[in-house]
Amino acid sequence: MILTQEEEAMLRGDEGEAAKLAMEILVKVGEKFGAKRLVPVASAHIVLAMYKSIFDAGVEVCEKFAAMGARFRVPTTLDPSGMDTQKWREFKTPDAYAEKQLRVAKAYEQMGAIMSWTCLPHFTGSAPRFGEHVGWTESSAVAFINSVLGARSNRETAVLDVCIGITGRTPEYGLHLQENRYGKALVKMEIGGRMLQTWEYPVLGYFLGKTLGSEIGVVEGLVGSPKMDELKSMLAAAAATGPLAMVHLVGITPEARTRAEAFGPNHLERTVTVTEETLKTTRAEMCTVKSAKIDLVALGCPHYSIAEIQNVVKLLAGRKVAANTELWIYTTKQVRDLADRMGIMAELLGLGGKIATETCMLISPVETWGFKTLMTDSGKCSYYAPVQCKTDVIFGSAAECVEAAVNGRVVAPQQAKSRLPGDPEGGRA
Amino acid sequence: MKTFKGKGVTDGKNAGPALVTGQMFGFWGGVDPATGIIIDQRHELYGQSIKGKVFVFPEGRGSTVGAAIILELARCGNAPAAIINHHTEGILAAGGILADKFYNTKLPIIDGLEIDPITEIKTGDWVEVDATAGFITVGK
Repeated sequence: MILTQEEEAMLRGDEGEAAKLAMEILVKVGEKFGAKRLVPVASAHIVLAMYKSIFDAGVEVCEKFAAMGARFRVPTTLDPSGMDTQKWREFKTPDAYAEKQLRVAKAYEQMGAIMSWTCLPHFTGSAPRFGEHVGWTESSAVAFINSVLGARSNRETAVLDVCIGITGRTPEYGLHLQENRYGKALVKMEIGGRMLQTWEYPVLGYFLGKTLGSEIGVVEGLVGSPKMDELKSMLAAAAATGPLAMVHLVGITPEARTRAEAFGPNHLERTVTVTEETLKTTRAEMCTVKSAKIDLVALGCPHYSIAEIQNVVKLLAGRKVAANTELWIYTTKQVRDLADRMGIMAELLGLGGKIATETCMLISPVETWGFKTLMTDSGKCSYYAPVQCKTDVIFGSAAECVEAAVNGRVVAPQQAKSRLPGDPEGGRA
Repeated sequence: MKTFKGKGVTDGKNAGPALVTGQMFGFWGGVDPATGIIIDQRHELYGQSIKGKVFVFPEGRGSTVGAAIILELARCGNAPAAIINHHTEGILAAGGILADKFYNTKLPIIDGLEIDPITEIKTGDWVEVDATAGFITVGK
């Protein structure tokens, strides 16, 4: 690999032991992927953040870098914490667990991280621009910034993300190179030209992830104008069921104004069709049981936006959450503060709901509650919950989730009629 | 005993009994690092251990925290002996390199073999992976 003078200096140790170790790791990874050089990145995002997923090895590695005097060279954000950063005791976080999470936080503070604790740094002030090279982890974020914003990031991984933040560099291969960003597989929407309803976006994502593998797909025939929150949910599901880092959504992805632009010089290798049956079968796969008493309704994977929280409060319509059911919404500190200022939080609390901040159901110790069945509107959560929360899972729309929270079990939503195909507001619930 | 060429993704040489699946595999939510047992109930290998195995699967999937799980597997002594893929993505490659760097654990990974490892290797076959030299040897 050809290194610049500055990079050579880091590799020699001129910039300290931490930069030397980080550079050694990046060069080794780069060589394995045939990278000719490193590319400077505008930012890094770190998934080596939540104790539940990084275990003791992760804590040891963070502390090792901090002890070596590591400092981040580019703006470096953190994925969610392994517990509510304020009310971790209220959420039954074991002390020994909390102590490990606090050690991770301390190490990153020393290294100068942006203490963002969210899977959505791109929604909270750290968005990359079109064409910008970044070194991010968090599968859902990487899929979003490549596919919707047109920024350039590979699916970096834990520890490598820390090395990228320290050096401000990442190996130049994969999605950093234009020739690797074109589509190979065509995904044709054959659902009678109707718009997808909000809850169908994560269903489509779930299907795309497991069907496309690492092949870049080109989705043609999405009708209407999907909201950012819908795309967020769809791409999070896609990046959970597969290694999807980028998908072209014709008319939405900046590099896919047309189907021809999305394919570029590539030949079409295969065609996948999405029919009503595909969506129905996939939705069924996203549930481990059909109906049950619901112990926890968990929303906010990825973190809920203020509009999504407003929608839940509207759907509750003053009704209380059932006695033996919990309704938890996971979000960022910024959104929580907004909800507080707007009085939505007080209203939600008054109805028996909770807002959990800077963590989520998958990476906090939800299993300490002993819930049996969880319901969610998240495709990503529906995939991971059985293992991470040790529960059965039922996937449904936000409206269905709210009905389940109020009734303590799965029931048809009152809004069922507004979810008919073709209704422009259908399923915006 | 047959030898097949491939592309070494990490360095090292190791052998063990094969554990083969045609399904993609993600380490986070896929395996319990404290035991090496596959905990993803949606995976066909649910309940089996990858510890000391030559783990054969087409490609990685899911969470980018994957390398941290490989590190914890290495820290606990439960890492697979080696990994064979159709195509190894960055998460797994970095996991192998980091396990060596932080926990002195060699995790040879090889991909791009001249045969289809999913159909040509059977679970239980004794497989030696030399990722440094870029070949595997399959015995029965």
